[in-house]
Amino acid sequence: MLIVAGGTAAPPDPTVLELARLARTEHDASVTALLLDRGDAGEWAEVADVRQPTATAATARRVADTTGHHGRLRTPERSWLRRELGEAYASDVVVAASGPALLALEHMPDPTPPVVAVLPLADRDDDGGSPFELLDRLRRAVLTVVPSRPVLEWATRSGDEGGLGLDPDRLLHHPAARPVAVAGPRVTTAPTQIVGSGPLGWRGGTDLFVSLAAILGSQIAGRPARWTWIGDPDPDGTGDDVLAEIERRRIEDLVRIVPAAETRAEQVASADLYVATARDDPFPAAVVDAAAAGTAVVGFTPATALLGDAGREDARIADLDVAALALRVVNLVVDGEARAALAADIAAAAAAATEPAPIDDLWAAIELAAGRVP
Amino acid sequence: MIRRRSLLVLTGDLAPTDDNRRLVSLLDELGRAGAIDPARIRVLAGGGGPLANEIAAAADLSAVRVVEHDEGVAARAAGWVHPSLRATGSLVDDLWGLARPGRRDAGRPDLVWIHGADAARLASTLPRAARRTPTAVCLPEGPVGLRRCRSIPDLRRVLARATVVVTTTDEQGDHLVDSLGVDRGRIVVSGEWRARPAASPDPRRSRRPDDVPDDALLVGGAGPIGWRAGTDLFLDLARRLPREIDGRPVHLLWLGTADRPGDDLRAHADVALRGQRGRVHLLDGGDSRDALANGVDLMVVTGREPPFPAAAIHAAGQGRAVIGLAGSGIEAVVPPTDVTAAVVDPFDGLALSERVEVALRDPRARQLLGGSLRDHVRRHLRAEERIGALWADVARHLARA
Repeated sequence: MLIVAGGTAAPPDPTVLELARLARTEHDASVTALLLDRGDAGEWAEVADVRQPTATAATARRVADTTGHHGRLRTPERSWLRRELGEAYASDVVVAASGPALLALEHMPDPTPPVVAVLPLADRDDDGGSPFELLDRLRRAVLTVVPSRPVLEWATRSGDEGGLGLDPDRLLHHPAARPVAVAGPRVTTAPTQIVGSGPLGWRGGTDLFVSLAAILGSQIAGRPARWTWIGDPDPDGTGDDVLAEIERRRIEDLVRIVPAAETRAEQVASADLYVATARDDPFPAAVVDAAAAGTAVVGFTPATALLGDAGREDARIADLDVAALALRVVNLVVDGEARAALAADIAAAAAAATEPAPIDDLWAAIELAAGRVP
Repeated sequence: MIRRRSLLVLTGDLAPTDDNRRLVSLLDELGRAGAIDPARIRVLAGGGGPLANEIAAAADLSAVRVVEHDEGVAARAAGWVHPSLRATGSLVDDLWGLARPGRRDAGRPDLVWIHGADAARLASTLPRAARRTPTAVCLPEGPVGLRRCRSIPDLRRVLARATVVVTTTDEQGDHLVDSLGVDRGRIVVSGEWRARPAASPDPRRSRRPDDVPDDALLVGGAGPIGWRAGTDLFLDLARRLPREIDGRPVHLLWLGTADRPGDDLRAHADVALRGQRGRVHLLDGGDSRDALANGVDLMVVTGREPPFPAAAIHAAGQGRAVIGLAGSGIEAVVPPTDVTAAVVDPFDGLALSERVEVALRDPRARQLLGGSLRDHVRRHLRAEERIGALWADVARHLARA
């Protein structure tokens, strides 16, 4: 089994890690983990033979990420990938553990072994790949494992309805246990904390968050409000647009941008209201963190699959209608009981969505899917 | 009498952008007016594009040469060896591009015209003799566009020794003084101008996208797709406008290509996310751009910073009503009497949609506004006069230098 994983900057996906452990201990499989970044391999080293980029490839990638020039600066990384994936044909199955990992498989030569994609329950802050390319790769996977039912529904919905249009027979819902921040005692003093999170830019919908803040300002129905966005600039460069818009509107004092940090879960947990604005992530990890910690969530349809799961369509705003979202936010800020009820509903949905399933089931599904390939 | 000068023009690329069309128009008018010698003009472009033939044809130029700043062989090879060597490779590419002989030797230029911030990088690789030549830097970009230029140090160097700096608006001039330390005495404000309509095809010819019903009311927008031209504000307008007005479906058309890679894909995705698929059309326009601009009932300008889109100036010149956000540059094409009807607060999307809806419901008001703008544009934005005045200013600075 060959596992391709995003990198060492983020902790390994618990589902894939558990799968690798099971493969090695219970099924006597040879497991190789191809990490797309250099650094401490951590838990990967315990369950697989780890391969990491050369120093040149890793440096060039870092330069590309820093400068935003992803063209030729990625050449050393591509050469390394082609070399490593050149032997992939010997594997019985290749598991892509993230969006970037799946995109990296374009360098795998024919004949290609069956590919299983595991879309982790995480913001795609660091991938730099577009959803359009990702969709093409997902269509070629023999099995796509998704962590929640809302993601499953989104993936099977047709493209015209905003979904991915994937074959339901090639999708598996496998909930994964994930650490969820436990909120401390909620501080209820003013001002009202309104938080958004994700890559700073178009994908994360920071532009929509900024528009919302500009409409409502620092006083909502006479109550002071504080707006915070947690996230690093998106590699696609659209973060510059957002920062320029903040400057143009002269609301630097109104909207606070803080970098993504390990404490993100605690930050969203201590907020009064989480606003979900992501355009291409129906199930952002930050929404689960907020929901599980008892923070009310409201937002646009593309990012609020969990609200749909909770039966709270009233808190989902269609068509990226910022004015309608502003009205909903005002109602929730003013009406503490409605906010608490919404928080309770989505907390229950988050708990259900993250209830883990036995890893043996996933192993069996992968064996079945890989066996279908001639 | 101004003598005919020879020109070395540097531009970032030859893509069919509004900035490059302004350059074509400028060279065309200067050639017609006898201010420059069309046989002694060289154009060096950092990248290729469809405008190469148009530039050569429009001004009877002796040489249009593409240096291929971004795609050079040496840069590619150096990048393979080590990413940090790529810049050196680019420099070798530029020098090679400049060293290749032109079709005809135009001699030493009288003036180096640097068109756009991205062309500043080319200027830094010019031979020493050319660098001593009087230089005019034309910067159509606003503050954000300048910030995104590929090499700010090159731009600073070029601005420091420029004989004259040409901008579109006073605000841009202020920004150059405040942020880049340009001497205000060397700044010339050109304003917008309406390019001379092409003789063929008929400039009044109009057409609509194939999937727009014949009876539809069509609202136009234009500019490079992205934040600077306010494509997102245009899509927000689409969401706010009713789907039908007086029994006629309302469609929206945006003319332009991506400002940055991926901006077009993001805009298409936003059309779907905002529930506007089938109603909002994003088109490049190509050769039919003017005809498509003529086909709209109303043009809306949502730009966050100048320059004003050429398609909107063209539409106004043909008598189409134009409504726009303050600060988008629309003030240049609207006579003072029509400011209330045509100019909207830049942060008020609701006001913009209401103003557009009122105009769509009232054909008579639309016609009156369009007629007023046409008269204003044809009287005050004539390319020959505007460019003549600009060139006189440039010549004054050159004489002083």
